Amino acid sequence: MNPGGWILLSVSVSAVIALTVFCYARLLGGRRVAPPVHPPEA
Amino acid sequence: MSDTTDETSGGREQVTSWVGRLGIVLAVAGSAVGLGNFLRFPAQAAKHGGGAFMIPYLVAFLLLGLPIAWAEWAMGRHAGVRGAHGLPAILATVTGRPAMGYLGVLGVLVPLSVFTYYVLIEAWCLRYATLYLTGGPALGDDPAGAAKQTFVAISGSVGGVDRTQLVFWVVAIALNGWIVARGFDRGIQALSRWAMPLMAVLAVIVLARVLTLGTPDPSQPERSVLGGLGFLWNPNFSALTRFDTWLAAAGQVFFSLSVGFGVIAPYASHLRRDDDVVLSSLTASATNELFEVVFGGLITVTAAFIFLGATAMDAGSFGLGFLALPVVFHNLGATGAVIGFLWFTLLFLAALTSSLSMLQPVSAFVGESLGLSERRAAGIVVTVAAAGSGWVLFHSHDLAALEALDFWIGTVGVFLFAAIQVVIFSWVWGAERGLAEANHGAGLRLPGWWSWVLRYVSPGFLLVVLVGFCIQELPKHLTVLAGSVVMTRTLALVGVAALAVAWLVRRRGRGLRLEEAPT
Repeated sequence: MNPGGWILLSVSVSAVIALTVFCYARLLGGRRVAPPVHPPEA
Repeated sequence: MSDTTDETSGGREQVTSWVGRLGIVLAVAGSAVGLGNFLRFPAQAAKHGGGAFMIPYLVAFLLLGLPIAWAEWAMGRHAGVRGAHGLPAILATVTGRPAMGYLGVLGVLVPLSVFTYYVLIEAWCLRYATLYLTGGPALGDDPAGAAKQTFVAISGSVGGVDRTQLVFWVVAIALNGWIVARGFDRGIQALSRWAMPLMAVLAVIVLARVLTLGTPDPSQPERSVLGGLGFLWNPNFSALTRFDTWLAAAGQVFFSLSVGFGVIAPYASHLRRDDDVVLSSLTASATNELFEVVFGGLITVTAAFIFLGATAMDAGSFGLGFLALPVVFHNLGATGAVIGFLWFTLLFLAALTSSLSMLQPVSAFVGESLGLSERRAAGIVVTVAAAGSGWVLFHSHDLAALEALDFWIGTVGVFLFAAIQVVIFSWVWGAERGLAEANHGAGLRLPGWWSWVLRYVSPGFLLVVLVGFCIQELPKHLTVLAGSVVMTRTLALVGVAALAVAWLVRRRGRGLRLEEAPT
């Protein structure tokens, strides 16, 4: 495997794992950043 | 869990509301994670620039997949709290125009049609899993030839399906029907809660075995783990100058995330008014990418390349899964049957969680149109789906019916329905209003510029993909269609189904409740 392959593999796999961990940590933490204010109606 | 009572359609019907946000995330992720993650993604990447494929893939993920998924989640929740759970009612409720419900006919036809052939492939996976449970298929001295014979016998692709496979087909349909009839809470959600983690465990075990294969044949040192990873991931940046690379990446993201399949909005319709949709949608998408990029990108092609070299890719996605990998497991010796069993169990579970997501929205639509309970609606839908699947099975020769449905409904129909949904979200409902709806109760807030992406970039990107796809693919498929009686009759049956769905939309339209939900 050449260096370009290593870089793309490492970056892709790391980014996906990091995103997944971030999402589940935040989801299971239950924190909301936006209060449940009802959106404007047309 | 809590139950809410939906009094639309004249009768009282229990609609389960998912309190646990994890439940719907895993269910949507289960819908998205399917055979395409493990077979189609690596085949597409290997064909279109290797590691360089990840660049257009990421662009499509950010500008096409994620925004449309958010739009579907937001529309689903908005309509769901107003009592709409089938796609025609969801579109009618979101727009406030009952006539818009007719655009949702496609959103019912797509999952129903795709189910009819997807469940056949699901039954193949179940059959392979049981074959490996009992030691695996006997591939003898000509593993490649024997693997092909096994696949031909199971798929019936040269005419005639064996009786054993019929049993597996019936089992797969019955299992789907039974789970859908149990309802959201005790059916799909309960299954997703244990099936998704189990799939991750199975994938990690298979991945660990593949990455420790080393160089099995010292006389061919290039056929090693690093050689296999390099075959898939070494970038060929010249592929980025070709339009079909960008088209393939957009198509892969699109189908992988289940956007345009008519699945996400009906699922999200079971959220409560203050439940998050932005973070939930992102989490489901991230889960899908975990299975696609990490497991799909490291297992399948790597294993196939080690034992078969570059020729493993010659037979495409199906060939990779059902022809190449059995040869790999044959070469693994004593552990081959175990790894083969784990692999095909993983594929079966991935297919099952996806096929369920195709039946459930149709069942919800039939239930609310006819005022039936979940169990009765599921019974009707499974009967219709089984008849359609029987048609596909009966016409297994050359997989003609399967390919007609896969292209005209499972591909063209999905593109069109995604376009319908994104236009309704951004231009009829209004991107700013839709974004405000998405941010309501959000666990992760979308900045305002996403409304610009949803209004211009995603529809424009989708239009380019759709036009490019039509120019590239339609002429040859029209020629094939014109020369095939089976394909023509198959699509005629879909037309009849469309009329039936439209009649149900009309019936449901009378009972639509378009006023605002109680706060």
